[in-house]
Amino acid sequence: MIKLKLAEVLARKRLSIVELSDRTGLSVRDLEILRDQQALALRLRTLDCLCRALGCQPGDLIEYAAEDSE
Amino acid sequence: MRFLGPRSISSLLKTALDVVYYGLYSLIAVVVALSVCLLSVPNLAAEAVRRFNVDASLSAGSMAFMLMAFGASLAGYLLITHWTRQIFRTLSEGDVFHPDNTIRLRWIGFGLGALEVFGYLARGVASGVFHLHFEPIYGLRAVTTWFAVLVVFVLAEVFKEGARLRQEVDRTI
Repeated sequence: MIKLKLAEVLARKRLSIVELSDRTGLSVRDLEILRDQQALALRLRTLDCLCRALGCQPGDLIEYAAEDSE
Repeated sequence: MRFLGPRSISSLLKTALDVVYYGLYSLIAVVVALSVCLLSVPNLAAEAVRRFNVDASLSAGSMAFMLMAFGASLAGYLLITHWTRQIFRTLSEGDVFHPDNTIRLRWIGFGLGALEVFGYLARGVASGVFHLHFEPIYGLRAVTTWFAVLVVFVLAEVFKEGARLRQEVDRTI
């Protein structure tokens, strides 16, 4: 499964969801959905906003993890 | 005038359905009261037949049974109206693809089908046991309800897909 590492990046950058919301223009609710791994899809535009605001690459925010077979 | 949302055609239709819903409630109460009266008041059936000049030779029990069957079919319509009202409530709130609308539409489909089957049975019993005769229904009119049931089930699938797409859009950031 695709995992979003937004919480880890935010912790590393010492940023809150509200501050990221101010920087990106995305709503806090949407960012919480991303942080809590509840999103079904991520727009390239959103990814662009996040990378610009966090000064990182898409690979820093997204990773593929094999699902447990159990 | 717009179709969805407050003060729209759907909210107008919902109000109309509310009137029908409570009207059906009252009608069912009247039918049940009448059948109880037929069973409990002696000679009421004979008096009613004489007063309204009805050509029938049914006993009070048979009349009460037929009235109760009519009340049961009205209860079926009441349920269908109830689910339709719930759907129209979501439409008047502007929330078309509400996840619960799929199951409501399915129940409406099952309800319409069940009422049609109940109608066949009631006609069979009325003609077989009470020797009452009904005008036979021919051609497309005989299958109109089944077409309606089919359309309602297709619509339920459309609403299911709509609800799924809406959920996907809600969770696309």
